[in-house]
Amino acid sequence: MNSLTELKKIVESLNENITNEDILAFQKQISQLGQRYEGNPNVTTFLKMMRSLSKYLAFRKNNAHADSIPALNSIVEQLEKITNDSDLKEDDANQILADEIEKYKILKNKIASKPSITDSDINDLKAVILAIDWEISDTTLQNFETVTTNLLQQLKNYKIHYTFLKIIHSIGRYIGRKKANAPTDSISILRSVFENFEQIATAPDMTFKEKKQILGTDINRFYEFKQKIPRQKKVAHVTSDTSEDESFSPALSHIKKTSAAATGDVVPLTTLSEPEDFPSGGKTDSDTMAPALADKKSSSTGPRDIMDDLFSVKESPADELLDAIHLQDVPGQSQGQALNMLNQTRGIPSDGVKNLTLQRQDNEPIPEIGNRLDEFFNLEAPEESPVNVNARDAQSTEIDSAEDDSQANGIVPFQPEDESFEESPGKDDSDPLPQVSDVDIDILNRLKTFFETSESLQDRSSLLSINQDISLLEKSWENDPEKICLLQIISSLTNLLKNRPETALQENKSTTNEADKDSPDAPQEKTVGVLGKIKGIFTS
Amino acid sequence: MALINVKTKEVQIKIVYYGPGRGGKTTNLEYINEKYRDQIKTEMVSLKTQDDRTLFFDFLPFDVGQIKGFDITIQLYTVPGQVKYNATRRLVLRGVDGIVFVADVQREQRKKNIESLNQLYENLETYNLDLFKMPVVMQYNKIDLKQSDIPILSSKTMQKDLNGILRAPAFEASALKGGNVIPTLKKTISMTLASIQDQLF
Repeated sequence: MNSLTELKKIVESLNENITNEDILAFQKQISQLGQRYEGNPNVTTFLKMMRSLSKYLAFRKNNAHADSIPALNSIVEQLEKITNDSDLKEDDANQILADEIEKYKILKNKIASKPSITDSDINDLKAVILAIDWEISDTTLQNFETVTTNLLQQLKNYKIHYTFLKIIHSIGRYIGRKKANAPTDSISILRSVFENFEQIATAPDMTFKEKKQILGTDINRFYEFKQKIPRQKKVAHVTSDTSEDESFSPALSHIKKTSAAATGDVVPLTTLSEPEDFPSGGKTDSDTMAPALADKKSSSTGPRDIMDDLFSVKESPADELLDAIHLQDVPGQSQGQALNMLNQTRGIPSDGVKNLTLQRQDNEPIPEIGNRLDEFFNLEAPEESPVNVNARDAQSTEIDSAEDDSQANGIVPFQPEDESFEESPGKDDSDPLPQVSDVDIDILNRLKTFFETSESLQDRSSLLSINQDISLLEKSWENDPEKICLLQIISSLTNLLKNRPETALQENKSTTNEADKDSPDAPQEKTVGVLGKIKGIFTS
Repeated sequence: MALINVKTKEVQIKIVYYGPGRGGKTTNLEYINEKYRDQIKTEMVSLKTQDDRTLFFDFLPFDVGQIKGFDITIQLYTVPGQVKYNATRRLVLRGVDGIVFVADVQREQRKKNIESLNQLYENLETYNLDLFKMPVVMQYNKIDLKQSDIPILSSKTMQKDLNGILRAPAFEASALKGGNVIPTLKKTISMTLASIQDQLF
């Protein structure tokens, strides 16, 4: 029995069952034929195809593609024809070879792209990935796990598909573990890998090389993604274990640096005191109030779910914004177009209408604003007297220093219900104010006493003390030109008084006495005016 | 961008509650909506996911009445806090007049607060807006968690992390219980209106 006959017999047995023994016997016969037809290029090509197929069958055995044994049969038959038919012309032999090569290539492509993946499988996978993109919940993650595991099992013999699925599975699982802490680009990578998988799974004409190329790109992206993870893991670990004292780069520190930030100086903060600390008296509405969301579900006045209104006539700014958000997700539309849409709806020119881009002015709101808002929110109107404000500031400074750490930063105490708050009016400023130290307050009070007592103004030692106090304040406020200017005015006035001759002082005294008789308040008004300006600095 | 109609004497102000996910932005609006139901009169628009996350935004418009003859309408918006929705956040910020930055005082949220504020700066930049020149109020929310022994950051740390450079007025708050929700809002509206009062009133 020659090798070809033997080959045919082995192929017949392979039809029933593919065993290692058959494959080995098949490969042995191919080797023998190779030696016999060493100089025949046509036969060598046939044998090459058979050797390749035998390797494939040895690897896949009974899981091999259904067309592989018929293809092998055909190759063996045609090989027999060109070796046994001595009348066969060379052109005919070449044609037979070309036909077999074509069949072999078709089989190869089928093997590479054959996976029995249906549209339904693709849609299921798409659905679970989109569900994760929409919301990372236990349900969506469980569905994702089920679908991907099934597909992995189903496509385990198709290397390219299987690799795609492994990447999808790994990223999805990682997102499931990390949830909101997953890197921002995790879901976009997942979606991108799925889109490529869908492309190769639904394009039968795509060559193996093209598929491999697409897969290669995704593998590289996946490795890049994986490389980022350990770093983030390390950072997250450090974060969770850090104490509060650990230094973090403050927000916006990459934009601006301030000396205040460096020295730890902080701005005023309105605090919320412990519930047991609530002052119960003097509040307008201190009755126990149900938590904000206690009866949210049963309330008919709760938020509207606009999903039901998606197709209604658009009339509110929210509807316009929602349309713009949807538009940015439409393929081919850019966010710029979404913005243009907003511009068109919002920027319709109308008689008398102007758009104003607001800039923080750091100015005091006019009283009408505060009054209107207090009325609207049923809040008690705070007293606006600048003298009272100063007094409150001084008081709160003392209280703060006795309280805890956070309150030392000018924090207004916590109260559980906002109507039981009373914002400290001194803190109701649009910009944080420089802190006034206790020492400064003492000096100011001393100066106030000096200027309010007419005797002090006639006493040279008192005038000297005034000048010393002014110098101290000048040092303390050296960075505030307005205050310095006012202090210089006071200093000049004081020097004027100090340098006046005694007689003039006496004249002044008698004049003052005269004036006191006619208008007792007149001299006091003058000094209050200067102090008023100083107070104004703290209250503006 | 405040809309001002000098003919009909109407002013429309847009205030956006911004901050990290699950920080309490929506809760702020829900409290306001619930507490001032009678005054607000309009309905709150909200679109949430199954587990109560803001999907797109919340919207609560209301009229506060007249100030010097001008009808003042306030529009409150929240942004979705989840990291992946930055494009939506940017869209909501368009035309913003005032900002409430709602930070979460939970210790584990420290980094997210900082990242969110940094991102706010960048998002405003896309509209040529400077966070440092805008009416901004900081709110340190969930301060009540310290009663539940949940580790929280001190207000001093919050101030250093978020407000050391911005230096905006700041409030501790408990949005769920309503603590300092209204003072925060009042402060933001006041600052916003104060910035246009010279041109308007």
